Amino acid sequence: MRDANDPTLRVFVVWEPVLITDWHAPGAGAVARIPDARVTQFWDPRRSLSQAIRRGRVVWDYVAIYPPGVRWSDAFPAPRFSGAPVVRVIDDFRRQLITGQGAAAGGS
Amino acid sequence: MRSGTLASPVAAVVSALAALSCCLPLGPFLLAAGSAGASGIFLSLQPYLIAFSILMLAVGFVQAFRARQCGRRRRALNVAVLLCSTGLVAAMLFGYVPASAPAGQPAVAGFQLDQFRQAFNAAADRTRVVVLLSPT
Repeated sequence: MRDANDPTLRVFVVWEPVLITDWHAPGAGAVARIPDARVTQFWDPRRSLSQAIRRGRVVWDYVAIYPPGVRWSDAFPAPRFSGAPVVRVIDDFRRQLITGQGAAAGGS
Repeated sequence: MRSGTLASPVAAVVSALAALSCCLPLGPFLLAAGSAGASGIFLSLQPYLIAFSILMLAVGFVQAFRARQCGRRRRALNVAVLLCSTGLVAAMLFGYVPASAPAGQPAVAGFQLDQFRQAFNAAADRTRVVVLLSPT
């Protein structure tokens, strides 16, 4: 995120329980890992967003980029780029975020 | 000490664990059965299980208070189990309160789909990134 200089960028980080150890909301350590002021963080214990993105499957460790102009009306919109797990797509994500080029990568 | 005296705090802990989990003692078993669906069941039951755990703790305290005829060692055991149960349930409940956000960010909010949709659309004039992560 540090590499993206766009001050208007909005980042939504949604924490959700997936692993057997996720029996509580994100702690201070987890939340502090994303200190950027452009970020808004949520705790989604019912995985509502995951269901909205892909019904019937748990979407997690996932990142997606939506360009200006994309709106969420009925279904959750298709991203310009998405991928999972984050560690595997982080380089492509960074490139997409900085250059704003290219087509969608594989989702989770 | 009657068995019910010990059963209440134990029931409180069990229900709290079920309420606050996709996890712990049940975790591996549920994972094997397909954890996403199973944990969803527990998440939907969570408010009831939390209420039940608190109720069972209260019952346990009442029973412990009434069980004066027990021997000293059994009473000490009873109180120890109750205190441990209370501490465990409290820790799990407090664990569900999200941590405060880093400086410059709004407070970590409980997720509401409609509010999130509004926030997403309100920023439609700019690039947005959506990230889904698990706390651990």
